[in-house]
Amino acid sequence: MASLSNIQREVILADLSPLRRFCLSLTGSQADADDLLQSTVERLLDKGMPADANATKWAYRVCKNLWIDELRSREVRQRDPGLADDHFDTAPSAEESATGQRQMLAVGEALEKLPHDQRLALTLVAVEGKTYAEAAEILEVPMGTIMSRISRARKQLAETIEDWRE
Amino acid sequence: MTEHDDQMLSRYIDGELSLIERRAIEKRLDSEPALREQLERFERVQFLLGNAFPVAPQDKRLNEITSLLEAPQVTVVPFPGRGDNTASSKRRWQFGLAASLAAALGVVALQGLQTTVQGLSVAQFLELTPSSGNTWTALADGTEARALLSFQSNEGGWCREYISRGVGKSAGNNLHAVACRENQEWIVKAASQTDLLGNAELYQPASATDTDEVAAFIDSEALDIPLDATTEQRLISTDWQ
Repeated sequence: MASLSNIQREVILADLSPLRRFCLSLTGSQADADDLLQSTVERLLDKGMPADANATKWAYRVCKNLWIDELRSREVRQRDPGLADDHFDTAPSAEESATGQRQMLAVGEALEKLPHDQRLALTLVAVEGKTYAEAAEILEVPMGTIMSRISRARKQLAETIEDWRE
Repeated sequence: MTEHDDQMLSRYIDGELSLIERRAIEKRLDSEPALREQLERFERVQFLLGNAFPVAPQDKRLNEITSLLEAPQVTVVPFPGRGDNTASSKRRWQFGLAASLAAALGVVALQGLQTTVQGLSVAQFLELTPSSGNTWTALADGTEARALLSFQSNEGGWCREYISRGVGKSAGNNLHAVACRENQEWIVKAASQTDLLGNAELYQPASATDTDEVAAFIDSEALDIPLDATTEQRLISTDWQ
């Protein structure tokens, strides 16, 4: 595995802000998003990527894999209350009481209820603007799978939003 | 409402339908209120998702993460033929050393304006090389680059669109980017990996569409049409002043 070339570094740097937003949509908090982003960058620097890899897609894929690892470790911690952390305090702070923050929290909570695979697919396409083909490549699944995951995720989110309105 | 209907609506919102499929679903939307209501529900979801996660502003934490990705400095030797007077040399050193990472969009501060042992840094290339339709210039990192055009930004600064391509083991690793000169640095404003189709001597981005990040940046930030060759050459000879 080669280290990062200068071109790959430039591409990742240019994509860092959208990648950070992707992290935010996965984690639901800016602090956790930045931790995930930093882990992603450190992993990319440590492991590199093939010379012919598409740096953007590779970076998203690494980020996705790290997030799945984190979710698995959280599940382990949740099974053992002694290891549970209070990383995700859902009580809104004074700053978070602003409308935008409330909306982000509400949408974030709705996203958290989705199965992980649906959440990743929907986030890549609906938040990050990736095409279905790009999302399929990042998530390493067929495009038909992306289609069904996204429509199911939208349907479930739509039902959640309907509940808010009632 | 079938799962297939949900998928069609989802793909409609995401712009993933063919023209024929789009016309078919639009025809159904005109005559099927239930389908239209489901589309409206999906569009509300899309609106909320689109607004729930704005790009966070550049801040200290992002700067720290960005700095991890800075390319290591390469060994340098004095830059030949561009004057060695102290003031000028000092100013050029600032290209590499200032490494400003505070601008808004995934900013890259490029390598210093010194000649490397192997060839030009990207900043040197942008500073010194005229736009060309058929010439590749070897860079210090082993890639080759070609300036495509130069233009003045809405803020009055100077920007350059360029492509670089990997050679040898990096072949196929191609970058399409636009960089602007700010505070005596060339800062990449938009970049994406791209394919060079067909004859590699003829630049033709695979994604030459309205969604191309570089094209979108130029479309929104260029003050006027690209500079003509004479104006560009004059700016190169006067350090873009």
